[in-house]
Amino acid sequence: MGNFAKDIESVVVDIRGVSCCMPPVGEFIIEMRQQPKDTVIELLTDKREDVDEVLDWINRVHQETLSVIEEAGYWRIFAKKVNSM
Amino acid sequence: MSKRVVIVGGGVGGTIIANLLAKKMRPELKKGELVIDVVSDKPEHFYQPGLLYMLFGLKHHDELVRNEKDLLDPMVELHLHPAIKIDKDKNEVHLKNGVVMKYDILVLATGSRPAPEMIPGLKEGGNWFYEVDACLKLRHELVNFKGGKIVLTIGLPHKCPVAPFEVSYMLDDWFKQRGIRDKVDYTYTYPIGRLHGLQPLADFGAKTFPKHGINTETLFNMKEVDPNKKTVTSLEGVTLKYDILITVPPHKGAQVIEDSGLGQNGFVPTDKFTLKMEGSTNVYVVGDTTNLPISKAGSTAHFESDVIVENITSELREGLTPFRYDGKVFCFIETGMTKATYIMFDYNTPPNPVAPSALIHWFKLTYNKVYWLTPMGIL
Repeated sequence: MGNFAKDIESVVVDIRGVSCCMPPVGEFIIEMRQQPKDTVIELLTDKREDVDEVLDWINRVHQETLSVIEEAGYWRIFAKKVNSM
Repeated sequence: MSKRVVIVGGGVGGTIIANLLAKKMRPELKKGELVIDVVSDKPEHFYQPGLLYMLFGLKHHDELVRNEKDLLDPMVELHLHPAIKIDKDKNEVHLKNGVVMKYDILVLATGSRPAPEMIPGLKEGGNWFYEVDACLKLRHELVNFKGGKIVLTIGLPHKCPVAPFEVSYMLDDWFKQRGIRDKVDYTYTYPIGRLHGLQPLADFGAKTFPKHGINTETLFNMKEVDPNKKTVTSLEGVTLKYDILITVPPHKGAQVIEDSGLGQNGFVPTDKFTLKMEGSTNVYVVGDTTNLPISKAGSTAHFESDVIVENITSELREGLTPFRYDGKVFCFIETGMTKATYIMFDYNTPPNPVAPSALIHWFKLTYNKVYWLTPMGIL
């Protein structure tokens, strides 16, 4: 898992340092819906409390969480769009 | 040799930038050292927030339209031909009439539009008030409505993030005025696990919606609409029946942006502080056209425009672009037919809606009348 972030090609959604308007889960939904199937999306957020919300939604709509990596002061969520939506 | 600034888009952002730039750079314009061009696909400038009022018969189409030419500074050149391709490597904008415009600085102000076709069945089964014809159709539906279930669904991304709140509060008052509120079962849905993306507004809704008899269903992302069965189903597995489906459709950006490979779904990757297109030194992006995680609203374009104009002026005169956008947005929020509140926020400061009042409502109605001063660069 250590080299995971280096090895994978992803679409990055970076919402660190922004407190408006949509929380991370909202921005993640936007990106997940507009990307084609099999795309890996990487969400960068500095809000720990929102990580679980994102993971819960991924699970709820039957997409796939690949990894969650804690960096210095922020989190990287990798998820794959495995089903059309 | 003169410099040329080309602005693609004649909405609020493009028009403000053209007019403010023409004021700031008057000496250069008069000496022929600068040319400012606006490219627009239509001759009219439409005040989009007015659609909410048109829905309730409080505004008419003619009140919401002006000729773009009349709003622009006389020293700005208006080209009424759609842009069909933007070549950022060659610094060219290609128009449908075959003209190729070279630019030194480009401003992308192409806006966004409702795209109900993105959700199966939504175009056929849904009603929205974000476009003139659709708004008038929904108005007819509402005027003839005798009672039943109304469901409001919201797609992402969409412009004017407070409009779903406003239409919900206004419908409550409007049905009361018509004496049928007790016959209307109204449900507000939202794509995430609270009532609005902005937490303070979500809290405001949680406190006030029950008083307005508004039912809620959160974590509801439209998957499909069945116009025959009159049902809307979410990705999360919930199906709601409706008699009237009101929707804020997901939005897309302009086709020319997609066709030119400048951004997926027509939204351009943009630096949130400089408002330059990522990877570019001479392309600015304003308003709905950006991919920034902030409100797609007229006031956003307004505040961004100030920064872009300052930077273009500074760049042309000094070769510097020191100004930064802080994410500032201001929105009025109608909380019924007679009261309103407002919010102001930026990247770091969340909003704090004040207590609704008639005074703020009248401010909003006044702004609706004087809006034209905004694109003219006066207000």
